[in-house]
Amino acid sequence: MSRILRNSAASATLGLLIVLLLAVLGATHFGALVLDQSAWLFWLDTPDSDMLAVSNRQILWDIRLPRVLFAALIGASLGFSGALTQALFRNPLAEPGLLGISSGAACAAALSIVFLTQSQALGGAASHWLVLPLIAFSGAVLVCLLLDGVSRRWMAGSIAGLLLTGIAINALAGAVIGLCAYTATDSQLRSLTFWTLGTLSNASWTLVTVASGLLVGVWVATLGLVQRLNALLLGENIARHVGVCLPSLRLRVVLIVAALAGFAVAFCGVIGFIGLVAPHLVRMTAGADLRRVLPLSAMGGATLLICADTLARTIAVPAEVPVGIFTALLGSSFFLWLLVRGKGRAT
Amino acid sequence: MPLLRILPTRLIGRRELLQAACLGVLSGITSAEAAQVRANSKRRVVCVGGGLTEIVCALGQESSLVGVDTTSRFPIGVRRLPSVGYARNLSLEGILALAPHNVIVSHDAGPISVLSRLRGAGVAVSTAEDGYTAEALILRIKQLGRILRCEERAQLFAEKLWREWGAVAQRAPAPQTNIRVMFVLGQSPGQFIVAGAGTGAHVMLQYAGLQNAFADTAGYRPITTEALIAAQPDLLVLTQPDSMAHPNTPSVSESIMQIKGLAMTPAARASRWLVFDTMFLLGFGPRMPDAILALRRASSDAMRV
Repeated sequence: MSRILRNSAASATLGLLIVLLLAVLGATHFGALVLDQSAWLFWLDTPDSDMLAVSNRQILWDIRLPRVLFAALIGASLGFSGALTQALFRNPLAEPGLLGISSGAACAAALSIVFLTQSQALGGAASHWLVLPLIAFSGAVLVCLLLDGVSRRWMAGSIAGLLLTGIAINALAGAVIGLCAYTATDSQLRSLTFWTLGTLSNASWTLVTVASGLLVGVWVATLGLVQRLNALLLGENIARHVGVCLPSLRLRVVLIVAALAGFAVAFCGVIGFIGLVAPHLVRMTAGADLRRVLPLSAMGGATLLICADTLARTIAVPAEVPVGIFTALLGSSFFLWLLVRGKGRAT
Repeated sequence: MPLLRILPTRLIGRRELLQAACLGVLSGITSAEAAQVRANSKRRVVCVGGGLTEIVCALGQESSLVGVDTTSRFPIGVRRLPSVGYARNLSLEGILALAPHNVIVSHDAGPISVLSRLRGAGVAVSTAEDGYTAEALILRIKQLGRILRCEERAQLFAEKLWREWGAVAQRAPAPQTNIRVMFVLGQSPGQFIVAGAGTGAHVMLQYAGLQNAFADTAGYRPITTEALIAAQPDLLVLTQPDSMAHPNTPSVSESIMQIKGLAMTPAARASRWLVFDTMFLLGFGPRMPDAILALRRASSDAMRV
């Protein structure tokens, strides 16, 4: 029995891996520019038309490939953190957005856009491209620490308390963002839209390296927690009886989620829906065991975001459509299809 | 044989040529096509910002434009150019695909990372001087002339515009009129946004010798019904994308009458409102003197009724 299970899990992983690879290849094929396939031969500086300022090789290796890989990594982070939050809260609706982590990051970004750029002394420093992402990231971490502090001091051990705190933080962040939007000047308002729409146009090899480093680090950090989280899935009391130290588990998972979601919001703005949908898709097809759900939802999130971003890049060439539209469109239609199919099978 | 004349500029080995031919067939672009594009190489410019596009065209460079943003709607010819989308959300590869030599952007274009990587890819990206004054406009024209390598034409055009501007400035009524104007930007039912101080609209009202009824608020702000009644505007100025100055189209007057509380202002009682094209009035391009004159003339006509 267990061998069959393992085999089906392996085939699901393999299948998703192949789909992911195909998505990466497909995504690198499509773009505003028609690419010569010789661009893949990075050691060959192909002779190109003088019309373009850059060569085919540069377009593929410096622009398109980092963007596709970045989409994959961000999608994986979102899917992974979504799966972790859903496991931690044993709640199918939980995702970093619900905990207030994403909106905390966006809130910090909005505050810095509106108020940091106004002051003369800090205005120069604030224009550096790295400042805003770092502030957004620290916003996410701050929210996480606050969540943990509140839930540990006043609502010890209660998952519902943590969830409610998250919802309250969400509302607070929403209010602050609204206030920022109201006091913002016209051009500040336009930068604010970036954080609410989400885009992957920041992609570069540096970010790809950082994101993959982060993902590997997070993966290693979660390895030891997976079985404890699996026990938690059976209920808080059962987990306690099995010998899981709930507060420490919760702190670690929350910090991991903050790192992933904070990073994603910091460099791409708020890209919704993937953290919610990817783990659901996986659970509907491969069961609830986190040893399978975590890697599979990372891969599923990556595939989903690659597809959405490819559409966003290519559908209105040479303009770009906000990627959030397509994550919701693709994710929800696929999700509905799975629901309908599952229903048909059950009856 | 233009193909052969261009290709040998670089020594290509037979194997490389074979490889390129095979891969070229795969990708659908033939080297002949590329060579053709190379042969008629001409300055290619992408312009982001409606007012900037108007300047580029006024400098006689319309033919070198290969892409514009969504706010570039005048002259009519630029509407058939590929649109690079919203100025704040430019696409790196999308712009590169237009193969521009120059990208001219307004100060609010972005994301910044896209602009800096465009520069990194060898495209000359220039940010135009901003500012809502005639002096800033003249500076902008000269700057674009330098960028597009037509300084003389830019100089002549700037001088011509400066003379026009002088005529407009002299015709200004010495004491500003005390017509209180409410400038409405975007009129969706339920909420409407007025222009306060520090906006382009405020500057245009001042140049036209009109009083902004909301000069004590800053920026574009949604306002309450009571504030609207308290401001007691004598005249309404509205902007609509893609419309020339033709007031009182039925849809506009309908949407105006939906603004709550407006019926209690002098403007509505005498049905005094003016509708202008957004980029004509707020583009701050070569049409700026015309726009001021039109605004002044239309407002004095409306007040006479």
